[in-house]
Amino acid sequence: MKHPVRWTVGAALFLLLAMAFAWWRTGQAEWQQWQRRYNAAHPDDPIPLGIRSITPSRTGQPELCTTCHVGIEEISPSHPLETFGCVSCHGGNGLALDRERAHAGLVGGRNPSGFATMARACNCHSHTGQAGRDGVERVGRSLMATYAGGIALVRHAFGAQPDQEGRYGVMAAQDPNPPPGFVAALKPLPVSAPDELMPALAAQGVTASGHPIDTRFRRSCLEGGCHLSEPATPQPYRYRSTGCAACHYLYADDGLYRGQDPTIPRDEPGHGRLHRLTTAIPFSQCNHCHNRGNYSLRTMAFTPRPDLPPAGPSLSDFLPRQQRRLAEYYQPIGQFTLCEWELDCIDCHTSDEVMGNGHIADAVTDSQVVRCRTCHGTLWELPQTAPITAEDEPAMRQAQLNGHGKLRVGDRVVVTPRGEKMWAVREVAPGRFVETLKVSGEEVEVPLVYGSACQQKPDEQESRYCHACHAYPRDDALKPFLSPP
Amino acid sequence: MNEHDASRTREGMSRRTFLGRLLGGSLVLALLGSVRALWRFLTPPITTPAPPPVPVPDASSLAPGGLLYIAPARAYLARDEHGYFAISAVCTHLGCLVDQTPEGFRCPCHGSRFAPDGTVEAGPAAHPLPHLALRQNADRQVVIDRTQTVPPDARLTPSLG
Amino acid sequence: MTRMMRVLTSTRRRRRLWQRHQSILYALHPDRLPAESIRLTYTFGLGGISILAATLTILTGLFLTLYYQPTPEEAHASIVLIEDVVAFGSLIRALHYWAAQLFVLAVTLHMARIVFTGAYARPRRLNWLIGLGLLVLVLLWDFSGYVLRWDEGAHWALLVGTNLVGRIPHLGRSLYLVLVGDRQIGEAALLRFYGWHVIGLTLPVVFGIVYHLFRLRVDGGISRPPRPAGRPRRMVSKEVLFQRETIAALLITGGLLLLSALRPAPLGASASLDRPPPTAQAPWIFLWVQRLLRHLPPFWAGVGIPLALLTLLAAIPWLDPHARAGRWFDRRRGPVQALFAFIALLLIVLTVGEVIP
Repeated sequence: MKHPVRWTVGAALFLLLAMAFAWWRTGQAEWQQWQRRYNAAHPDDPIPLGIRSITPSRTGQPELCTTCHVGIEEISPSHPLETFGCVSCHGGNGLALDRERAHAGLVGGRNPSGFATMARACNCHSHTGQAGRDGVERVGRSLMATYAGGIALVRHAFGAQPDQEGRYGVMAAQDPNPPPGFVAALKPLPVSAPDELMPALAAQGVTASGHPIDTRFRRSCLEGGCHLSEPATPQPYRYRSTGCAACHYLYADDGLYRGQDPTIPRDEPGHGRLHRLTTAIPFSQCNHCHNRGNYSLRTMAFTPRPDLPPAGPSLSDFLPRQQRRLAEYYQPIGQFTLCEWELDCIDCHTSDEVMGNGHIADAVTDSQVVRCRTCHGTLWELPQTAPITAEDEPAMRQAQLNGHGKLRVGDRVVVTPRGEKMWAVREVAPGRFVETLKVSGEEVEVPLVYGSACQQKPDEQESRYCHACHAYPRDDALKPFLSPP
Repeated sequence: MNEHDASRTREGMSRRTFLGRLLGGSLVLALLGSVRALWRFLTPPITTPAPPPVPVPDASSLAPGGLLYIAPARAYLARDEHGYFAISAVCTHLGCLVDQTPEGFRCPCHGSRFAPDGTVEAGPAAHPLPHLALRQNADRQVVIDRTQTVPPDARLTPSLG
Repeated sequence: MTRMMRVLTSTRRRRRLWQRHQSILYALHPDRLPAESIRLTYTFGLGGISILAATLTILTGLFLTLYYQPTPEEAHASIVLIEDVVAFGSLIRALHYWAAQLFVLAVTLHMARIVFTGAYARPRRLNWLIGLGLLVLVLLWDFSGYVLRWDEGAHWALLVGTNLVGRIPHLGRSLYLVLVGDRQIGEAALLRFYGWHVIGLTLPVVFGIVYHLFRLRVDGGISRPPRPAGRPRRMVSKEVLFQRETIAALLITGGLLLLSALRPAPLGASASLDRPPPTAQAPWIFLWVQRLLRHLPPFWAGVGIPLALLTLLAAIPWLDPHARAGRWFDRRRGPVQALFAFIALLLIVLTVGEVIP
C-alpha cells in the first residue's frame, strides 16, 4: 500500500471523529432535549441537567418520570409527590427513560381516572367502607355517569319502554340496597337488532332490545363526544377529560396547557390547563358539557349555541369579565336569578347531587334536592341547619380540601333535604348566614326570605316562582356591551 | 502365555507395555467417568414441581359458544351445550401459545392451525391440542388441572350453588 | 518528552515506534510473509476483522456484566437501565451488539473465502475443522446473548429452541434438562445461558482462536496463490502487515462506533410466558431454521438438516483431497465450490423467504 502513514493518520482521525460523534449523540437523548427545552423556557431558573429520581414513600421504588416531565405540577395537595409519586396512579415503567418503554403499561393512557380504569388507579377512593369516601362507587352509580334518566325519558318517548323508570345506563350499575325511588340495577345500553351485537359489546353484557330507537339514540347522541365516558369533542369550550377528571381536572376554554411540563405542547389544544386535580371547580368546567346548545328528539341532532363556538363566533371574546361570565353561564333561553350566575355551579350543586349519594338515581329530581329555600329559607322559617360534630366528617374534609373553608367542629351549617351538610353556608350568628364561594373564596351574606317583603306562598316554592320576580334581565344587562353582529 | 511372551517377559518389555496400557486404559476410563460425572453435575437435581390446578374465577360468566383464555393455566376455557371443557393453548409443535381466530386457533410461531376442538387443520403440528382435565374445588370454582388430559368429548357440568 | 516528539515527528523513525516498545502483538507476527497473502482483495482481512470484532464484543460484554442481572424478574429491567439510565450504557450495549453481529458475519465470510481459495487443503485440514467448530461456538454465543435479553422474541426463541433439542430421540430429554436446568424455561435456564454466554462459551472461543492462529502458523501461514513459474515470490516484512492491521482496526472500530451511536441495540417488550407471542421471529442467524420448521418435522428441520449441513461442510477437505490452496474460484476445485455455494444460497433463500412473508 502506498502512503501507509497517511492511511494510519486518516484512520485514526476517523476513529476520533466517530468517538466525538458518539459522545455528542449520547447527549441527545430525548430526556436531555426536554430538559434543555425547560431550561430555555426558564432562563432565570434553570435546572441542572441529569436524571431526576423520586422515591415515593407509598411504593418505595425510585421513579424517573420527572426527568422528562420536569416541572410538572403536583397533582394536588392531597396527593403529594413524595408520598404517591407518579406510578401509583398512572402505572407505566418508572425506571425507563425511553418514551415507549416508560409509557408501556400506562393505566388508562393519559387519564387514569377514566371510568374503565378508575377502580384500579383511584383505588383508595373505592371500597373504603366509610360513608362518603367511596368516590368511585358513587360516581359509577350517579346520574351524570349513567344518564339513566335521560335514557329512560327518550326510550319512553319513543315507546321502547312503558314508563320512565330507569332500566339502562351508559354503563351498567348495581346497588344492593336501593332506597324507595332509586333503582337496583341498570343494564348497559342495548342495541336495536341482534346483528348489531358485536362480540365486544356482547362481552360487556349489551343485549338487543328489538326497538329501533336504541341504536339510533346510541349513535346520534351517546357516542362521539356527548357524555362523560366519551372523549370530548375537540372544539373550543368543549375540551374536557373523562371519568373523575371530567370534572376535577380543569380545562381552559381553548384547551391549551399553561403549565411548566416541557413535554406537553403548549400550542396543542386538548390538554388540561394544569396538571392538577381540584375541588374548586368553576362554572366554565361544567359549561364544557352543559349549556352548549339543544338537542331535538325529532331529528336526533344537537344544535349548538349560536353565540359560542362552533356554531357562531364567541360572544364573550369582546366582553368585560363580568359580562363574559353572564354571557357564557346560561344559554340565551335560560331564566335565572343574580345568585345563579354570580355563584359557581358547585356552590349549589353539592357533592351528593353531582357525584350521587351512592344509589342509582333515574331522574334529576331524585338527584337534585337543593332548592332556593335550602339556603334562603322561607317566609316562615330559617334555613335548616345541622352542627358539625366530628373533625373527619365529610363536610369538614370538603372544607379543608377546598382550602377556603373556615369550618370548626361545633359550627352549624345549612343542610339539604337529604341531610347533606353544605359546608360553605354556615350560620355565623343566630339568624345570620354567610356563604363562602367555593372557587374564589369570597364571603357573601345570604339574604334570607324570613322577615323580608317577599310575597311567596308555602306551596309555590319551585324556582320558577322565585324567577317571576327575581329573574335577572340577561339581555338587558348585556345589550350595552354587544356590538352589532 | 506362550514361549514368545515368556521371552519378552524376560526382557521386561511386555511388562512395561502391559502396565503402560493398564495405566492408559485407567486414564481413559477415568476420563469417561469424569465426563459422566460432569453430565450428572449439569443435570439439575431439583426441578420445579408440576403446576397446581388453576381455579377459574368467574366461569359462570362464560356463555355457551364462548371462549375464555386463562393465562395461569395456559389454556382456553370453552363451553358448549353439554358443559365446560378446557383446551391447552400450548402448540403441540414446539410449545408456543396459540392465538384464537374466528376459525379456531392459530400458532404464530410456525403457522399451525387448529379447529375449535383442537384437531390439527394445517401446519407443522402433528398432534391435536390436548383437552385438560376440569374439576370443581371446595368453593365450587371450576379448576383446570394441567397435568391431566382427557378425551376431547369430556365435559364438566358444574353443580352450582 | 522531546525525545518522544522527535520520534513521533521523524518520518524514518516513526515506523519503529512499536518495534522499540516491544509490543506483544507485533512480536507475534511472522518476520516475513508473502506479499500476496496480505493483499486486501485476496483475504479481505476477514480473519483479522473477526478477531477485532470478537475482542470488542468481549470488552463491551465485560462492562455489561456489571449491570446486567440474570434473573427473570430483573433481566429486562436491568437492560432497560443500561439503555436508558446508565451513562453511555446505550452506546456500550449497541457496540456489543453490532460488534457481535459483525463477528458472526465476518467468520461466515471468512469461511467462504477459505473455501473459494482452497485454503482447506492439506495440511490445513485440521484447522478447517477447528474453524468450523469455532463457527458453531460463535453461533451459540450469538444465540445465548440474544436469549439474555429476556424480551418476548428471546423468550419464545428459547422455548422453541430448547423444545427442539428435547425432540432428539433418546438423548433429547436429558439434553433438555442439562440445557434448561428445569422442566421448563425459567430462572434456571436464564442462569445457565448467562453462564454459557459470559464464560462457558467465551473460554473455548478464545482458546479456539489462539489454537486456530497457532495452527495457521504451523501449517505455513496465510494461504496464497501459487507462485508464477520462474519468478521469485515477493516477501514483505511484518511491518507492512501490522500497518494494515492497525489501519483496519482503527477504521472498523470507528465504523462500529458510528453505527452504535446511530442505531441502538434492539430490545423488545418484557417477556410474558402466559400470553401468546405477538410476532414470533427467531434471531436472524436461525431464520432459515424457522422456515424449515414450518414445513418439515421438527427433528429434521431443527436438528437433522443442520447437522447434515455441518457434516457436509466438515467433509469438504476430504471431498477434494487433491486440492491445493491458491487462486480464487480455481476450476479444479469446482465441485466443492459449487457444493458450498449451493448450501450458502439455500440458507440465504430460506432466510429471505422467512423475512418476506
